[in-house]
Amino acid sequence: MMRNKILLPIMTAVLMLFSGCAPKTAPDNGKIKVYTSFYAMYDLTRAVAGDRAEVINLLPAGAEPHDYEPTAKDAAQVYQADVLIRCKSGIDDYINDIADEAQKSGACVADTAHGIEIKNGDPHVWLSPDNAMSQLKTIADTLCAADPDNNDYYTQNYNNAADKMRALTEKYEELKGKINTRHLVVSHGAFGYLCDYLGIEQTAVEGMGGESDPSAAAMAQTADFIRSEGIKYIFAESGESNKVMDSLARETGAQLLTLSTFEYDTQDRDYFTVMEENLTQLETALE
Amino acid sequence: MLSIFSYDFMRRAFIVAVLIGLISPCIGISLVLKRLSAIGDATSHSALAGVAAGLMLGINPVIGAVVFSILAVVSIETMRRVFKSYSEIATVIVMSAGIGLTAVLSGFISGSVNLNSFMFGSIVAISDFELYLTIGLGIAVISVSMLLYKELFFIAFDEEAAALSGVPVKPINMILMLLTAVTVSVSARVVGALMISSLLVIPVACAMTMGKSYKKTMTASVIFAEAFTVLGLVLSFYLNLRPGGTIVLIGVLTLIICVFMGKNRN
Repeated sequence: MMRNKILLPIMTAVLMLFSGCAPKTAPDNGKIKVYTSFYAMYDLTRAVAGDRAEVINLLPAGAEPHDYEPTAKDAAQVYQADVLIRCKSGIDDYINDIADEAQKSGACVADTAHGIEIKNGDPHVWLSPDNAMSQLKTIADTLCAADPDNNDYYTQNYNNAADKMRALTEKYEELKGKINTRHLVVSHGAFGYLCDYLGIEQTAVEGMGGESDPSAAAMAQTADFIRSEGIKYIFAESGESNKVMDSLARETGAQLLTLSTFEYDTQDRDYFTVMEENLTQLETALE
Repeated sequence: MLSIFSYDFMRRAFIVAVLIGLISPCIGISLVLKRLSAIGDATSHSALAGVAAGLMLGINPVIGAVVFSILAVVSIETMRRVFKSYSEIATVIVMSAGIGLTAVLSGFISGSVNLNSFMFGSIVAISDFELYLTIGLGIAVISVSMLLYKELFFIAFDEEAAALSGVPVKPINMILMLLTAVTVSVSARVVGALMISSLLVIPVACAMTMGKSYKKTMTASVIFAEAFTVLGLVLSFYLNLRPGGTIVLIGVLTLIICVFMGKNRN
């Protein structure tokens, strides 16, 4: 890792020399280039950008932002960025060095986690609809500032997306009124903001990261908790083979459901679709 | 918390602990004597590349893991003949290839997956399938170890002399390597790569400090391995420790004590 930190800036500098450093003010197709640090940011950005800006997600489809190792190509690409959208909540730390370089080369770097309070070191801020709304606003403001010619267009798109966000928020508000189970048992503690929003408690078998060897005591305590609270549904994250949650489900007779963290998505779905799907799962478990 | 055996997952964990404690030294002793102690690490890293390849090609990742582990041990066995008396070169090269391949292949997976979750299991989360798999593996390893006891013993100490006296060295080495590949890839999925790669070596190392015969070393290795896994599980339950790491550390601690006691004896 250490070597990467030194190599990346050097490699990008070398690549820049050879690419001739095209002026950013004259893009080939008249569109500004907007790079994003992971899928959730990519999706919210494309909702605002529509077809007037070129939105490129730096992270390949299957990669998790937590432990992504940027390639030299990633770093070189960002030199052509007009805008870089990230979420400095701890989720996309891989981009720290690249973002500095991008800023130096004149790109506008926006941190969508700005103004959102990071709680318990949990980086998954976008999972609660009120945070996502604030992130959407930051993105819209950034695009408007970077590309004033398309101001009206972006504002229009933002208003549409904000309407959808409000509709989604209403559905989550409805769920709030119907909650009977106050506990959400999950594999990793990625749903803290969502739980705070719903006014329920998150119980994670493992920490924030992707460890998969919990202590026998943690397993026993969680099993006891599920039994004593009469919890009927527990959650794994979609996109992983979760032996620990399978084991707990078998131990307690609880049913296993999945929630998406929207850090990535196989089917190129948008935020609203995935959050609706999460909502359906939550309704089953909590009502 | 209820008593330790009232949980289904703990009962499964103890069955698997006893089986792994039996399997790993049986294979481990031959590997250690052949200077292939790092083969567990090398194979499990290659297995992870197999998981990535499996996901990429849309086949079952566990099958990918087994296939890549077999490729890994066959490469090690072949290279071991090129670098005679430097077996460790072969294991290190295969391990590097495995890590490199995993890193590159994971960039091509078009899906949202956590690679590690397919490869690195936990002894406190054993499914029905994994339980039967481990029992089957145990039967296979123990039968081969018993059937080929003399041959493995002979080869482990002197391959050339064994060949001269008519032992089919190459086929037997291949059987041992294939068994190693399957053991490592299956056990990594069931109990975790850390646990299997260290249990192949540490119990044997402990037994070797006592300087007894091959048979006694084998018996002592099994006793050590059983003690580590069972004690590790109990401590994990009562002291809230992660089982894989706890089992490995108990092994290392025991080894230090063994070495110290061995020195005193001399």
